[in-house]
Amino acid sequence: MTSKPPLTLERLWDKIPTTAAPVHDLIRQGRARRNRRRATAGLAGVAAAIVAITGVQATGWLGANNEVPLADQTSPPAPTVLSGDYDPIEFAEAATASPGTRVQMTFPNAGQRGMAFLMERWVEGRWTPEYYLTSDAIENVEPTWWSVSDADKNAWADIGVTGTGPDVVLLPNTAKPGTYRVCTANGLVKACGLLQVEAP
Amino acid sequence: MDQDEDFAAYVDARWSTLVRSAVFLGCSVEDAHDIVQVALIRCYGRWRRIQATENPDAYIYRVLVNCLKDSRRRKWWGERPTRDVPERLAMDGAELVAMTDAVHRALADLSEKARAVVVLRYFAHLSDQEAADVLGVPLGTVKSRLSRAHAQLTTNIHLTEFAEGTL
Repeated sequence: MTSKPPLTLERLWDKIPTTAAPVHDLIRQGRARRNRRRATAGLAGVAAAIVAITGVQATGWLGANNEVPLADQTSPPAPTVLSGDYDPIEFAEAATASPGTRVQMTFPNAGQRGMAFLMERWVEGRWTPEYYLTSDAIENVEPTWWSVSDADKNAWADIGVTGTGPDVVLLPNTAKPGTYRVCTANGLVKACGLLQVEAP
Repeated sequence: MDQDEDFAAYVDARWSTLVRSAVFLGCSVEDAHDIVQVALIRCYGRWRRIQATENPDAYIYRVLVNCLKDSRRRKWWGERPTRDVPERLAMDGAELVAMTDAVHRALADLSEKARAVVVLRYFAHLSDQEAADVLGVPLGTVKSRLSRAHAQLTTNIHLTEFAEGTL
């Protein structure tokens, strides 16, 4: 009865463009994910053993190390240059700023973007999403930010922004000192820049 | 053949179908590439077990459908960012938007559930039972959804326009 889709749907299907399969990248990321999961499972096992033997509260013990994870001792240093295929984002003030301050971003390639940006901190050798920022792209709307853990409670206006900027964003006042990557969150073209956040 | 070779062969063979499936399921063309990557990375660590199943495709599609559900709940931020951006599509941004729009208009009459059945049965070539397993619904539900979807597609004005080359 309904063994075939309409021919036009098949034609539409065939016209959808696809890239070459990124096989090596998938394997590399798949291995990294598997190793992370094994490491997590191993750590949980060690913690459980300590609880069993000593009665120590595992969560408290691990929590005490949250600020300086053990892995940091051997984690790779933060990159000083972004190597991905991004359009650049350039920051004023030599790309160093304090939490709670406003920074200007310019876009030399003038790529189309939205008003939202993702701010990721370099933690244990990888970029970890921490905040979403919205710029001053809409007149009379102040730039703001929220933590990625509050993503379900917030939204940004779906607008298109062009030109070289500057777009102004507000750095979260809770941002820890460190190296951050700030990227367009909903642009047609991904643009990223590096930003150092220093203690206030 | 070792695990990586086997995984690579599968990805090479199915990549386009998975990406197009994600577009038909409601993603933009670019998001579809991302979501399929997320799904395949999730599957990599379990590849031996997946290969041992009766139909690996059914398992992969179940993961893909779950990734899509996650991405709708959490928008795109469920992804893990990477420094190495995948290869870009040859089409420019405007063309991609137009293509995504054409697909979504053509399928606009179908609910998300109906789209899923259409994709799994017609384009992933799963059986009714496999599609039912992927979606977690009874066999009869798959059959009835497919029948309704087929009827809706045959009268869809946008598909007619596409057939006439006006899209």
